[in-house]
Amino acid sequence: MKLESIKLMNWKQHSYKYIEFDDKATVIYGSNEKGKSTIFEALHRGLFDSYKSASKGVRKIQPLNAIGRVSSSVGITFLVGDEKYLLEKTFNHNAGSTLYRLGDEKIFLGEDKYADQFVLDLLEAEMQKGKSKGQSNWGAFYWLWTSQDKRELPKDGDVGALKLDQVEGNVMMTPKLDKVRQGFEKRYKIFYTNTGQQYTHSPIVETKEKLEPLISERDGLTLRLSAVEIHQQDLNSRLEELPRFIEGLEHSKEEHKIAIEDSRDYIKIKADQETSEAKIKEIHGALNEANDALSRLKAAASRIEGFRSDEGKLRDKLIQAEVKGQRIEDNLNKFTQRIDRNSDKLGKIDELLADARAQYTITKNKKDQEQVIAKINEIEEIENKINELQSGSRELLVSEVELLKLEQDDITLKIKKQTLEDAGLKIERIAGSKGSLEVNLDGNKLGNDTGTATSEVIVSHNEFGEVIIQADLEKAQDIKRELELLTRRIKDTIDSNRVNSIPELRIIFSENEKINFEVSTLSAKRSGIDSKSLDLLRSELMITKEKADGYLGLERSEYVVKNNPLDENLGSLLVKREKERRDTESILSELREERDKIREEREVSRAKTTELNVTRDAIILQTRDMEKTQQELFQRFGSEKMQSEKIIAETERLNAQLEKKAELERQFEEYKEGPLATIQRLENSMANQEGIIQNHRAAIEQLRGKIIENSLDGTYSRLSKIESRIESLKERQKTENIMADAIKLLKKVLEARYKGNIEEATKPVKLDAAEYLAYVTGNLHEEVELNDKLFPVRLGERGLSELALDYEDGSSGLREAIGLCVRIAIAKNLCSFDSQCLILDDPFVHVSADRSMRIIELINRIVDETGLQVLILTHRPSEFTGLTGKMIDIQS
Amino acid sequence: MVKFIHTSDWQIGMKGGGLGAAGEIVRRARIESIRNVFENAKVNGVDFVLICGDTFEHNMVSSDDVSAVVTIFNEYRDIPIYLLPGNHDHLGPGSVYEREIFSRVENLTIFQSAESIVLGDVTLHPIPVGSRFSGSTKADDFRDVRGSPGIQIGISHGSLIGGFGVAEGIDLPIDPVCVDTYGLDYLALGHWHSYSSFPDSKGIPRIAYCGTHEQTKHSERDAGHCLLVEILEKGASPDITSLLCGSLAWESMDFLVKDRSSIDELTESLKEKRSNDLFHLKLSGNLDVKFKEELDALLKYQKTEFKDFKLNTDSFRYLVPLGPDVVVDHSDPTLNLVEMELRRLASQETSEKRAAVIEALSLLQTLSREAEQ
Repeated sequence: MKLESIKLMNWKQHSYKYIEFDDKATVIYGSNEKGKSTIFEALHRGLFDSYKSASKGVRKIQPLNAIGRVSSSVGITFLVGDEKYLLEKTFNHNAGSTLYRLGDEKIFLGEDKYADQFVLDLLEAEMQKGKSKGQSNWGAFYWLWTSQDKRELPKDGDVGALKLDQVEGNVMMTPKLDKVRQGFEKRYKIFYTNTGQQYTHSPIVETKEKLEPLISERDGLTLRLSAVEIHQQDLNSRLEELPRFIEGLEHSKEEHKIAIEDSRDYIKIKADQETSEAKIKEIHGALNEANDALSRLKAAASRIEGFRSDEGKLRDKLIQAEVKGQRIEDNLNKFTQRIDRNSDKLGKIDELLADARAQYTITKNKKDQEQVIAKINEIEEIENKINELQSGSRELLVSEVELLKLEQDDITLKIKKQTLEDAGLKIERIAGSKGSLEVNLDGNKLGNDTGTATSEVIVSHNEFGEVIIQADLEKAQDIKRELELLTRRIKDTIDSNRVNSIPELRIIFSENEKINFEVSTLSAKRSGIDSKSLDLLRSELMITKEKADGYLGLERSEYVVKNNPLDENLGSLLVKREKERRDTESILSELREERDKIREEREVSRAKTTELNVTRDAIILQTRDMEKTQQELFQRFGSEKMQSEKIIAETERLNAQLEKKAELERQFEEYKEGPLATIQRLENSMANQEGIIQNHRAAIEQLRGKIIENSLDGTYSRLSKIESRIESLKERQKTENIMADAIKLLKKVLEARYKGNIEEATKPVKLDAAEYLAYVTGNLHEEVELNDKLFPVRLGERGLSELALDYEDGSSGLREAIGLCVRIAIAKNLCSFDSQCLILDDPFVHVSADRSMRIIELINRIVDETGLQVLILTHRPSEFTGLTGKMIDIQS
Repeated sequence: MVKFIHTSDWQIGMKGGGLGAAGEIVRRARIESIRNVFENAKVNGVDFVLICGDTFEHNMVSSDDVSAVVTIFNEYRDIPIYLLPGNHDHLGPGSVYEREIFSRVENLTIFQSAESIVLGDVTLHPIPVGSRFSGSTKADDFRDVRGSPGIQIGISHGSLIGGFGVAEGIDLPIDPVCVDTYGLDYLALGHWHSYSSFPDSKGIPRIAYCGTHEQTKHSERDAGHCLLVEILEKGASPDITSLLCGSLAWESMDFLVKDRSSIDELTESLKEKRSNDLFHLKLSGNLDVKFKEELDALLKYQKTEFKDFKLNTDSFRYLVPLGPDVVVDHSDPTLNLVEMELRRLASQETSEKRAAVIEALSLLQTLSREAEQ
């Protein structure tokens, strides 16, 4: 749809206004309250309001200066497709509506409500509805015609769906579909989770949870019932069998009785057998007794003989032990005598050794004293010379290094003094000042001023005028202080050494050096003689002398004088005597060790002899005891011979009884094959039958008990109730399963259609809107995201999705720009199946100039590309000078 | 002359298979209806009440069930009761009649054997069932009483050979000729739940099933009755009167659905059936799926109108038209497409899956309608 012209009469501030719109863009401008927005109002009321509307808004259309009832009318010429139409509509007084098709002829199409409906059908719009009647839908005009009051895009539910594709009928999300989906989601959540899994508290699960224990209990009860039925069958069967078993037992008892009658001889044989066995047992007793007595008699005799033999052997051993003891005693005496002899010999050797040691010491001390005396004399002579030299030396309080340093300082002092004077500087120090400087020029002092600053002094000169001398006065003061210190140090050293000059100090120092050299030479010589002091040497001499004197008082026996001749080498003699002593001591030690061993051997021999004596005494006692026992056995049993004869007699009796028993057994075996076997078989059979009957009766009682126990529990009644409940729940389960499947199916189909239809339909608009916004904002907001109702929901991510900017986060300017871009995108897409008119009433309220300029560029581009018609209403025409089209002054 | 109530197959504690939640209602009603039996006995001044087997559904019924029955017996202590164990409550170890509680009912005689009982001019010849596994013909246990004085009444529990045209494969068979062979004036039978009487060789109705005192399922005929039997003398024709004692009203109805108007007709028909307790509706025919919600609402409402409402839709089918003539208008193209897709699926799916598709369609229509409100 495109607008061609509008004509207003008696419409608010316009008593008459006719405007022709440009095919591309029309900018209607003018000051505030001049009726720009009134043009917009007239257009949408004309096209979409009922001619007979009496709403407050419609009543306000009449001019302010109107008196009484006034007719306000609007005439709109517009194009839909290739057809041109004229709609003339009058509100309030004489309200009416007339529609014409304009071509070669003006064709009347309808009037009043027919005209209104015709227009709405043409524009695919609906009549506006009041707020109380819910949503209204006036087609694409909600998006394309933007009043000042509705700058924001229509939000969810504000308006109906926009038809974006005429051919396929694809639309964006409609409010109805939205409601259906919400309603569906509520039902879906009853059965499923968001991931499509069955919800843990869904009716299906709950029913299943109720059913499972019931089924389990039912199965248990059914098993119980089955078990009782089996018990019942078993019981009946056993009850039928029992009389037969009892009858069988009675029959066996009868047979047994007859068999017993047939076996009377068997009883006699059995009795003889028992008698025979008793006799055999008795003979066995007598035999055992005789054998026992015989063996005890034999054992006693044997043991006595054994004891006597042992005693004889012990006696022999005892004799041998005594002989050995005597031999050890003799040996011990021999060793004792040898030890005594060697002990005497050792005494003699000790006497000789002591004498040899004394004589040797006396001789040696004498020589040592002579040597020490010679050393003392020589050392006394050297020490006297050193003392004499040292008395000629003068004491100085300075070292060679210090002297050298003093000499250097003296030279430095002289050089520095000379250098300062050469530089014409004389440094003085005035108390309390930083420092002063006298400046000479060619030896004449310049001016009278004396600088006291730290860095410069100013002096006057006749020829040069005032001269500024820059100097580091602090440093100069330091040099001066240094010179003073040097001078004082040199003087102190000279004074302390009691000399007049440094050269004099040098001469004395050199003489001292010579004396020191000679003293050190002598000292080295003295040390070479002996490092010990004279006092120590004298003390040692005294000790040596006293030691030698100790030996001088010793008397020498005749034996010693004879065996220790003093004309021999006393050292060799001493060594010889010491060796003799060691040898004798060694022999004596060996002899003593051997003697101790023999003593130990003697102790062992003595112990052995004692032990043999004790053992022999014990055997003698045992022999006597056993002889006593043997005597008692004789008195009780008689002799061994008597017992042997008794054994022979009892053995003969036993053999006779055994023969008799064998005969009885043979007779017994004969019966065993006959009547006895029958009796045994019957007895076994009766025992089996009685066991079977007993078991059968026990089983019957047990089964009876089980049946009664289960019967009293009311198992069947409980089963009845449970089965009714299971039946009821299963019925419910079936319905719930169908409902769950239905919901799943509906979701699948709904989502498939939703994706295939709505997403596809809105995709081009979303892409265009994003592209336009990127262009307008200089790629700042290219990620704008529109929902399925083409309302912006997100402005893009900032690295993390949770920090994505929502639409509400955007600035007013950005939101306005987004609204315009989306509207342009929708207009562009709608142009693909019909021409469209985009109306923007004062569009740039918040958008900055750079962005508004780009939006105008964008509109120009779309207008050129698609034939879109644009109508702008503004009070700032300068913003739209870039728009290709015409400008209309509303007041013109 | 003798006058007595002939009743049987109370089957207290029965499962009530197929009744679902109504099972408990029926179980309770079966106990309450015993009173109606005794009220009939009391009103008619009978000599005794004869219970011909299956008083209890099973020997393992609960103490509560047994106690409820015994309580009613004690309420009518002036009326002698003769009770024959049946195949459900047969004699033997664990029999319900071994319970101590029965020894406290003074007016009750339980037939423990086939021993006849003489009550003045009347002799009762019971054939109790000893085991549910016995299965043999019991008619041979009767004594020949053709020459005996007084009215001879046989009491048994089983299937009358040829009774309903079934000759073989019946349990506890009873040969009808026994009435003539042994000279019985009346053979009181239990086992079958519907009332039936059968003639002897002379065409005199001497054999009767009284049927259960309270209907068990919808398929039973003339159930919910007991018989008032009056015999003037030996050889006389018994006067048998069926008396109502069931407390629940059972009703079954077949209804053919043709189009939308059928829903209105069904609504009216069901209003007339309100007096029933247990109602079984069998729907047949077809209905456009767009009316499903309406029919569902009607049927859902019926569940609140009866103690039990059973619906059988095996022969009923929702029509889901698919083609150019079908108008689908949800005022939303997406919803329209969804409905068309579901309609297409409905024409392809098997019956089981079709039920889910139909439900999905119905849900879509409901949601669409709700969204417009």
